[in-house]
Formats: sequence, structure tokens, C-alpha cells
Amino acid sequence: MMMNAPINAIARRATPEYDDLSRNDAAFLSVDGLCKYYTWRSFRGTRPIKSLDGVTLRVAKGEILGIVGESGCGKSTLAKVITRLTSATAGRVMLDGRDWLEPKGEALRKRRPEVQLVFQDPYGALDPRMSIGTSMLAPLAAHGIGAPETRRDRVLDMLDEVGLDASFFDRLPSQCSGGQLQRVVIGRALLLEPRLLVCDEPTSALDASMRTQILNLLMDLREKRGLTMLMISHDLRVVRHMSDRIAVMYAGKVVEIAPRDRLFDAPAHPYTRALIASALLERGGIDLSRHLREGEVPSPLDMPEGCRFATRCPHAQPDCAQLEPGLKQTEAAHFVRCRHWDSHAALTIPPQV
Amino acid sequence: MTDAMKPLLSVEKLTVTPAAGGAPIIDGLSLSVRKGEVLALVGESGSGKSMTALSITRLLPRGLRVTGGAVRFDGQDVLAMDGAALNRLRGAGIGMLFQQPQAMLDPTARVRTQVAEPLTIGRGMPRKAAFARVIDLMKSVRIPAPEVRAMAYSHELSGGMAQRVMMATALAAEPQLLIADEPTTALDVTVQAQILQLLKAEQARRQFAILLITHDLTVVQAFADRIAVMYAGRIVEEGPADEIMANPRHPYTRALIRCSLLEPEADGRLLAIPGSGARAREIPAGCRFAPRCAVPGGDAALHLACASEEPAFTACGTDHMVRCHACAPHLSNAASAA
Amino acid sequence: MHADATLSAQSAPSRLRRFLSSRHWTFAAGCGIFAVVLAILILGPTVWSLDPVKQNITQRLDAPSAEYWLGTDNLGRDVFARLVEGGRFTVTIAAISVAISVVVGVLIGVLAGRIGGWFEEISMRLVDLLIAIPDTVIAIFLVAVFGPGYVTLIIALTIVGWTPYARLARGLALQINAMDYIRAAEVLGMTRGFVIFRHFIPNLIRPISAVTFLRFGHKLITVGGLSFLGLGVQPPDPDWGLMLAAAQPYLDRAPMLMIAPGLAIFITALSVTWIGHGLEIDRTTPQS
Repeated sequence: MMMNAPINAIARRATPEYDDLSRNDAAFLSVDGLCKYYTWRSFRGTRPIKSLDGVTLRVAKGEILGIVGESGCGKSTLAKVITRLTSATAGRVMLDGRDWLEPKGEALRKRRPEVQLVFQDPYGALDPRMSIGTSMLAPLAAHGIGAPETRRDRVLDMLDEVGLDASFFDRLPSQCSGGQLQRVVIGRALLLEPRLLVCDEPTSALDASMRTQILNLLMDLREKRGLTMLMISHDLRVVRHMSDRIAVMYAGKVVEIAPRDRLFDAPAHPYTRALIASALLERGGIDLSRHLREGEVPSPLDMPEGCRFATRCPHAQPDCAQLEPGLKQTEAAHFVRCRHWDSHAALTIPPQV
Repeated sequence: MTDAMKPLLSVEKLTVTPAAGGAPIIDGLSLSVRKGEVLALVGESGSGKSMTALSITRLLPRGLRVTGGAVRFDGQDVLAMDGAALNRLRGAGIGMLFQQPQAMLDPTARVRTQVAEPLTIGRGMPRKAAFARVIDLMKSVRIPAPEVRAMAYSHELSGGMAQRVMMATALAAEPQLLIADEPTTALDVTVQAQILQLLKAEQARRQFAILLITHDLTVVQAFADRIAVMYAGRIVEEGPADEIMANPRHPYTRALIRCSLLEPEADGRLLAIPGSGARAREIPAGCRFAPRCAVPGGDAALHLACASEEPAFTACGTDHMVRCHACAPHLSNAASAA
Repeated sequence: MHADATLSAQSAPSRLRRFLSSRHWTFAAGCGIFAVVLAILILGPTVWSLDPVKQNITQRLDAPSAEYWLGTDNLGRDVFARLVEGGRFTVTIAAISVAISVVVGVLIGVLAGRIGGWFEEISMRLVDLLIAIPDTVIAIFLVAVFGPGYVTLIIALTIVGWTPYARLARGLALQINAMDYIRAAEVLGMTRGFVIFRHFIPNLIRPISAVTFLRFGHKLITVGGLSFLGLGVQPPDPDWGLMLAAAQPYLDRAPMLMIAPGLAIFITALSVTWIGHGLEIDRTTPQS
């Protein structure tokens, strides 16, 4: 990881203790203190834009971890770093016990099949001048998967598995609907037999009816192939349906991780409660003042020393702005980044729709 | 009908066709919005809902033309208005929020000039007073540091910020009816909730009507008084929001609600509406949703009716209209089985 | 499972056919005219046994006749033959300089867009510098140093001629680089060669060839102009520009001497401009 010494030092200071979470070292995917700082050059010098600032996660084999957050929380950057589209400034990612951030160049290219990505915009993810069959065959050829004569059949089988008939092999992307193209994107990724599938807003660009088709498809494929998935979305409903566990991100960090049902029954972090209340608006009662104060979201150029949610938190105490809380365990498999979570844990969300 | 009961906006059998020919984009659409009411026009992309909004204020793009029906606002015939009357209508009568804020903001104007326009030009307010009101309006749509932002140029704004500036502009004009086309889609969910809260408060205070065009049923269920569901250029169901959300009758509405709210079915999967609505308008006869509808099942007579005859828009309850053969009273056994 | 199969599986009409049917009518006209011009220039001398240099003093400045289709010039030479021969020079020179410009310019542009860094910075500043200098000025300078001739002419045209291609190619490369399918290629583990030759180049061909044809037309006129000024092709080699220059004193007696090369330049340049324009414009998208 090439970085300036000053940035390295900043990154190291940014990772508080993760004792509780780190104990689970048997995890399939381990992310520790992952930081991604972009540099902002101004006449005053360079400053880091802290897009990811110490993200820690564990994902078990065959599990779907949902990652939810609003714009600027860093979830898309997380997808980019984990799929090695951009370098990490600091931190560690272990995939099934092997260092995933270490390989470079040709060694990395050869290991690429292990982590695959499903994009938000299916029309952008495919070269408009290439037929679907060509787009799907190319990665197989690039990695020498299967004997050349069998590759076309592999692609046809995969098309069938994602619910498209053989005629799609020769079609161009412009002749297909968004939902069909997204199936192609998923199929293309799965042809490489990845160990981890990262889905970055896979249904955000689709209509409601196509969305459910794709989500059903992903669930079926997970069942059949035992896929481990990261499901990144701003849409809490999507994340709620798909995930086994959910991580909530805010201002470059994870603020809460819990099993899905537990997160919705007893959310511990105030931001999680605000998010749930906003996303699952109840009839007639749009009243967010209980969950969010007037305040600014911290800028990634200027992260505060203490808790990043303090400016908007209705339960903020004087010590919250002083020192950043660590991600601590509240119950089995439930972690929250808030020092006072138990004092306002009594507040529950009204029954959701 | 007394004045209080007469709708503020009434669209009757509106038909919009492409100039180059082809199937109508909007086909005999009727809806009405009463004073102070929030009507949500719900549909997926391609249903024609954005075009409906544009037709009402006569802002259709070049290739489309109104070929039938009437639009009446506050008793006046909108389709027959001349240029001057239309100018008076837009802004103070009907305000519009577009999906793309860039379409509405002048890139060479500062934000405060833009937002103040309805006040200074529309109502002749002196600039100082107008600018003070602008700051208030910007606060009400939760634009942080409004004094600073007011001096920015429109092209310097992010998408979400631009949408809020647009909202502030529309509210400045104090319209009787606000047509909002996906006003909060590009915004974060917490911001969306806060803005809807404020919009609702403004609306309750000043009693203007809102025609909300959206595909997001979460927003609809929290915000709307009435819902009209659109499919392939027509309204297929209409009624009070509570009633529609609790007892949707049209198969498309039921499916849409389940698809949008992502409630799992009994087997844990999500309901998926088969096929695609892309070619629905080209169906020559019968119900346009029929190719994707699972309701008729084994009922041959119902299949025949759905394939050959366009269902009429009839009542299936008090103040609840639906366009479906299966929901018509004499075939109610098929509807309850769905 | 095949839920989307209801979207009727239209047979993909051949890409060529779809492309052709979406072109403006001038594209076909341009192709046709240019094909005719090329046929005449390439096959003319062999088919019609033309002699552009044979002088026939007794028949100077004759009007067009059955023997001399476009008449004779002041030295009794066959105008039509000189037109064909001159066209071969003019078109070849223009074509060579365009070809070199395209290859050099696109290469530099794509590398600048893809690699970035100092290479991009230096090359683009160089482009900014050179792009403002007109070919004529360079030609005058080079002729003053090296003497006239068509090699000098080609050098003069290419030395700054590559710059617009570099700029265009860089812009396109940046645009393509931003596309998700390039990201996808990276995540899928495609090789760099694949990305350049299967993603970049095919997506560059259409816009680059459109500009190429447009500039080819421009170059034709420039070659003619430079030769007119005496900076290009030297006598006795014929060239459309030279013929225009030589025709000036005889305008009232034999107007054909000026009309012929003038029209030749005009028609050829127009046809290639139509081709370039037709490659760019899609008839099905509404034009403002």
C-alpha cells in the first residue's frame, strides 16, 4: 500500500479497539480497520477526504451481509475497495484466511474470479457493441476456464440458470430490458465461480416489478450455490429482505451490526432508528424530530474527533463529541458504536409496515 | 355541485398521442384533485405519469400532442388558454416540481434570484423583502447554511440540493396546486422524510393541493390522501389512500404494493409480476394488464372477457373505482379468490 | 423461470443493415460520388489512355470536344487527362497526410487518456500549442527551408495535423474509461490488451472515422490551396491547385481551365464531407 507517511499515521490513529469483533477470526471475510482516503489538493496543501475511516466487518461463509447507509457513508467506496477497483489507504481484508489486498498485477488478475461485482446500472456494465454471448464468454477465455469447445455451452447453461432463453446469446444489450441485462450481469459474474459476490445497488435502477425478479434470482442462486454475498443498498427494504445480518454505515464507519431481525426489533444506535423510521414511514405520522436533530452531516474533509453522529443525535451527551466510541458488543452478534446505547435502548420503533 | 365540492383540477378523458403516429401515450385518463388534497398518481416507468403532469400545464415535448379530453383548473379550460393566461396559470395557479432539477434552474442565475423570481416578478415584492423570504423558504426545505447557499450559482449545486432549491422556488409562488414529479427520489431517505414532514406542514397551513407523481409507495402511504394507480396510459384504480392500501382490488395494484414494499410471500419469495409492461399499449383489445394477470386462472369466461373487452372504470365500493372485470360485482368470486 | 421471454425475441437484423438505414441521405450520396471519383482516378489512365503531359501547341485553349473532353490548356495539353493525373496527386497527398495524422494522433490521445500523468500533461500542452498554427504557415516555413515539393507538403500537413485527433481520442478515451463496463472488465480479470483492443478501439472507430473523413475534405482543399500558391506540387506534375493557378490568365478565353479543377475539388471535398457527416449523425435521433 503506497501512501504518504503522514496519511499512514492518520489512518492508524483512526482505528479504535475492535477486540469484540476481532475475536471472531473464523470468519470467511474479515475486514479490519479499512480506510480509504482520497487526496484533495488545494493551494493550502493536501488534505485527506476520508471516504472510509476504519471499517470493520465479519462475514461468515454462505452468509449475506447487508450494508445500508445514505449517500456519503462510504458504502460504494467499500464495494470498490473490496473488489480491488481502488487501493486501500490502510487496513486489512482477509478472504478465507488469505490476504486479499496483497496481490498485485498479474497475480491479482489471476485471482480476480474470487470476488465478483454486480453493478447498479446494467446498461452501463455491458459493452454496447458486444453481443451478450461475447460478453459472457470473454472472462471464461481470459481465465482459461473449461475447454474452449465447452465454453459456449457453459454460457447457455448459465443463461438458463438466470432465467433467460438461448436467444439472448446473440442479442445486443440495447435489445434487452434492464431486468434482463441485470440477469446477464449476474450470470457473467457467476460463470467465474466467485467465492464472494458483492452487489452494489443491484436493483436501484430497476422498476418495482423487475426488482423483485432480480432479488428472487439472487436468493435462489444463493440457495443453490452457497454464495457469500455483500448486499449494498440505500434501500432498507431491499437489505431487510435479502440479508442475514446487516451493517449500518455512517460517515465512513460502521455504526451498528446485528442479525436482521434483531436490528429491526431492537436497533441500538440512534442513527439506525432514524434510518428505519425514515425508510418505513408510517401512515400520517411523519415525525422525525424524535430521531434526528437539526445538524450537519460531518464533511469527509473535516471529520470530528468524537462521535460522528453527535451533531444530529437527539440523545447526545457532552462526552460524545470528545471521544469516538468503539464498536462494542451489546448482545450475541450485536455490535454498536455508541457509548450510551443502553440508556436510550428503551425507545422502540412503533410497529412497522 | 357547490363550489366547495367542485374539484380544483379536473382531467377528463385526456388522450395524448405521438405526432408521428402510434399508440396513445395517455389514453382516456380522468382524475381530479380537490382543494387542499394530496392525490398520489402511482405507476412504474413507462406508465405515462410524467407525461400526464406535463399535459396538465401544457409543457409536452415536441413529439407529443393532446388529441382528446379536457383539463380544467379552477373552472377554466387549460387546453384552450392563450399564452398570457398560461403564464398566469403556471406559478401562482399550478406550481411544478420536475424530476430533473437542472431542467428548471437557470445556470447563470444565483440561487436567491431564482427562488425570489415568483415573489419579485410574480408579485412585485421589493427585493430586500423577497430575499428575506427566500432564506426562510430555503430553511423550510432544509438547505444547510442558506445564507451562503443563496449566493451560489445553480450549476454549483448537487442534485439533492438542486431539488430542494426547486422546491423552495415552487413554494415561493404559493400555488393553489403543486404538481410534484418524483420530488424526493434523488434524496437520502432521512432527508426525504424530513422534507415530506415540512411539505406536509406547509400544505396543512396554506391548504394547497398536491398532485404527487411517484413510484415510491412508502412515500405514498405516508403522505397521500387519495391514490390513483396508472398502467399503460390509463387509471386502473382510484380511491382514498387508506382504502387502497388496505384493500387493493386491481391485480396490478395488489402486485405493485407487494413488489414495492417487498413483503415476502408465504414461501419467503417476493411476488414477481411476470413479463414486462413495455408493450402494453399496443394490445388491440381487452384489458391491457391481461397478459401479466394471474387472476382469471381457470375461469374461461373471465379469460375471454379480459382478452376481448376493455373493462370499464366502475365502483367496487364506496368511493373506490377500479378497471377490472374480475372486480365487477357480478364476478366478485374470482376477485376474492385472487 | 423464463419470465422475460414474453418480450418477443426479435431477430437481430445485421448491424450493417441497421447502420445503413439510420443514415441521412447525403451519406449514401457522398459514398456514391466518392466511389465514382476514386474509380475515375484509379482506373482512368488505364481505361482511357490519357496523357497529361503531351503538348499540342496547334490545339491550345480549345473548347471541349470529342477528342479532348474538357478541352486543352495553354500548352495544348489534355485538360481531362491533367485533371485525372492531378487528382491522383492531390487525393493521394491528402490521404497520406490524413492517415499519418490519424495513426499518430489517436495513439498519443489514447495513451494520454488511459495513462494520464506527465505524459498526458505534456502531450496535451503540446497539442494546445500546435493546434493553433495553420498548415499554410508551416508550409511556407518549410518550403523556405527545404524547397517546394510534395514530400515537404506532406510533412507540413502532418506536423500539426495529428493534434485534433489526439485531442479527440483523449476525450473519447476518458469518456470510455469512465464507463462501468471498463470497471467490469477490470473486476472480471480481463487482460489489458483485451480492454484496449476489444473495448476501447471498437468504441473509438466510429467517432474517429467521422472526423477523419471531415478533415480529409478539409485537407484536399488545403493541398489545392498550397499548390495554388506554388508551395506544393511543382510543374510539370499536375495538381488541381496548380491547374487553378495556371488557369487565371485564360479565364475569359477558356473558362473550363478553371471550372474543371475547381469543380473537381468541390465535388470530391463535398462527397467526403457528406460521408464524415453521415457517420456522425444518426437520422433516428432528433436534431435540434
